Amino acid sequence: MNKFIETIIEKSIILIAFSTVAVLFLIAFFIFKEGIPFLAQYGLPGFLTGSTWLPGEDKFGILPMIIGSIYVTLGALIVGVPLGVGSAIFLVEFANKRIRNIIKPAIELLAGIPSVVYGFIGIMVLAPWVRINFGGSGLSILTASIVLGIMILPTIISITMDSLTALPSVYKEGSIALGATTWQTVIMVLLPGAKSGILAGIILGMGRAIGETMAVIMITGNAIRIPTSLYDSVRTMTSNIALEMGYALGIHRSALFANAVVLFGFIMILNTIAILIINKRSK
Amino acid sequence: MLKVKIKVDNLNVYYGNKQVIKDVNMNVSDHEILSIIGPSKSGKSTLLHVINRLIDNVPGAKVTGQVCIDGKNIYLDSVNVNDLRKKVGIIFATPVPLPMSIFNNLAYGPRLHGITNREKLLDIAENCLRASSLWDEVKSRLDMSALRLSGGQQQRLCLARALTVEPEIILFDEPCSGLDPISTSKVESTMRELKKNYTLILITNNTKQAARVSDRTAFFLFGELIEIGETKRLFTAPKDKRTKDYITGKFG
Amino acid sequence: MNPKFIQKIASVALGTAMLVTLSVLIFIIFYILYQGLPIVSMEFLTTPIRDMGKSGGIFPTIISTFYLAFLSICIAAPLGIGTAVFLTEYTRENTVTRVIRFTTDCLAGIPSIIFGLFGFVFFVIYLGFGWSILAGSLTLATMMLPTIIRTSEEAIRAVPEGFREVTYGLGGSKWQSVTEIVLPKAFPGILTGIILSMGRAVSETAALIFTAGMSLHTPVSVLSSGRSMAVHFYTIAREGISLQMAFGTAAVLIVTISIINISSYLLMHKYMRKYA
Repeated sequence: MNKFIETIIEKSIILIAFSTVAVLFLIAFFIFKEGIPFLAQYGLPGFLTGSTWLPGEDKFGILPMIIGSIYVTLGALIVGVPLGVGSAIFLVEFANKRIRNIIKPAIELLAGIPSVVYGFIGIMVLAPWVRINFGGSGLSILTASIVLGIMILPTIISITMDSLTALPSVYKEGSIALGATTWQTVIMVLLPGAKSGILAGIILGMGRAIGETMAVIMITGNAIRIPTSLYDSVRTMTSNIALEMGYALGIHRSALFANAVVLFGFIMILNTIAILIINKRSK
Repeated sequence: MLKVKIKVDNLNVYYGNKQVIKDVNMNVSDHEILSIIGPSKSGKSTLLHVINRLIDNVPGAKVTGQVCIDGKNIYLDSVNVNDLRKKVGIIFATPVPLPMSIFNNLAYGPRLHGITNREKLLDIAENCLRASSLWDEVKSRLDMSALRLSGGQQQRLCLARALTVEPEIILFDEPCSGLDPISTSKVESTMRELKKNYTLILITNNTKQAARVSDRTAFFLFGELIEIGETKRLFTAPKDKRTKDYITGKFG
Repeated sequence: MNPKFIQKIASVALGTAMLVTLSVLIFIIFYILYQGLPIVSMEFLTTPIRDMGKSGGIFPTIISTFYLAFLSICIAAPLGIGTAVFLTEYTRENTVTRVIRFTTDCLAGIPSIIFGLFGFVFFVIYLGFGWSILAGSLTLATMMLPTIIRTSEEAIRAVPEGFREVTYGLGGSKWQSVTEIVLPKAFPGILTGIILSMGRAVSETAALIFTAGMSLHTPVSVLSSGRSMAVHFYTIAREGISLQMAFGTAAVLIVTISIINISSYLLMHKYMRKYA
């Protein structure tokens, strides 16, 4: 084949390879371009710590949304981490290969279910249960935490499983040879060995929970206020953007982009920590 | 004296800071079989990779000196690597049949160079299979997966595949290391046949094999060419003590 | 306490965690299918939306979903596979590959609402595509890139090095080694990644609301607006337009996603057996 064509192909492939870099750059650029001028004018501290969000009166404080996001994310972790890590340990250390081969694709299917369907199940099944047992509307932090906790399970399970199976088998054999039970081996040898991988999985799950939008809109009730109980309705940063973007104009729209900048910041910090942990492990 | 096919002058090869070939000078004549013997890591395989420039793909490798084929330095910028490799075929230690039919393995090379006519491809396949003495064993099942051939057959298939692009030089990198004695002897007799039309370089760890098939033999040790000469002479009256020690099995 | 006894308790506890996870999955699927499948009929699948979704079928949303998934794959696959080819065949590990990997990982973690906002300002407004299948597909394509890159890279790395050497040894060029042997052999793995990305396109909502729009009509060109099944489902479920229709749409969604997941799983299995 012609050397000239070969060179052109090589150059275009190099160009293509930078598509992800270009996309990330464009995303950051356009979100910041819309959001930063607003922040400069309104002031970042006022934006982050203000507790009233009244676009009609030009009052833009996203503290309730930040707190809302943090609450539902923590709630999701409380539900999702024990279930996820527990399931992963069970699959890797206690279940046999056949069970693993059946359950692994099932967990991938769990990851494939649309978030709107999770939200719908939240409204139809979970919210009435919360309403009957704990009062309120049922659209609450508790409901959102449970639904999000389930939604982050696949991420946590698959990364925990990967980091457990990546451990050298001598760890396990050495411990078993000393007469330890499987559980003692898990607690004393495997979990400490895999802890950074599990942590990375938890952080990625956190990223997914904080970034989830549609399910959260459907089940949190979206009230703009700082919640005082588990059964209170909240609004998260993501739902704030999605709910108001459709009709927002002018400064209101800029404020929503500024909200996205804050969310972007949260996510990038979480992502970077998780990537650094995973990269350090693979070295 | 026969015409010189390959001429190696002051060849040095480095992997990073490590020198793996040290100041090698040698000639390979047209239509001869040259064996290269020596313990592992003595730079034999590297030499082959230099001759067809597969070394270009090794990260951190540096080549100095000259390698000329038919009087032309193959390391000049003007040389098209793909044409060079077409001219210099290579057979690896483990046979690498591509996961496709026998016919498609043989059509693979010509297709890379633009031949698509099926009649012509069948012709090439038959000729090359005959040349590698595999034709009689596979002629009725060219559509069978190449992976189902035995190890020896696979190696001869790889040889036939190398022949499909009409090379002038064929490099063998320990082609029989994984084969049983019967397959080995088949490959060896094929090599003797091929000598009529091609120049062959054979790397082998098996000194007896070198003695059986080659016209001349070169002995490499730690990247240096210790001795090169008529095979019979080298095995009966080595000039260098290290050569003698190696062929009598004192080390290696 | 006796270690054997603790072991018993632990395995029961862990098994319970597993069971809970599994039963949630089974519950979701059966609940949706049980409520939704009776509503799904040929008519439901082939008639237009009526009364904002109170009655009629979901035909336009099926077409929109198909267009969005197809077009976004057409955009993302060449870019993703190209990037994977670059990372595996045209370079060695260095700062450039580390930068590309880092941005790919970052992109994978960005929430879909951010993609939606980006698609809205960039594709819909800045490039002037309006609310359209094109803008939606481009947005989806940017979201899919990380998955396609990662699975393609894995599949390409699994192709034995020897196949490339054979090609070079016969005088083939690097690009020929890529197109003649590497990509054909990596194809099943690459396809798995593409199918999984299709699943993502089918289930996506947040990124599409502000990019592909909410039109109730069947899209006629890439510049028409169109709501996907997931978006339609979200709208009728959240606004309480019709519970029946919502269940029906959800059932179709779940069935589609299951088919996509199962086929990618089967493909992967077949592929791994071939190479094992």
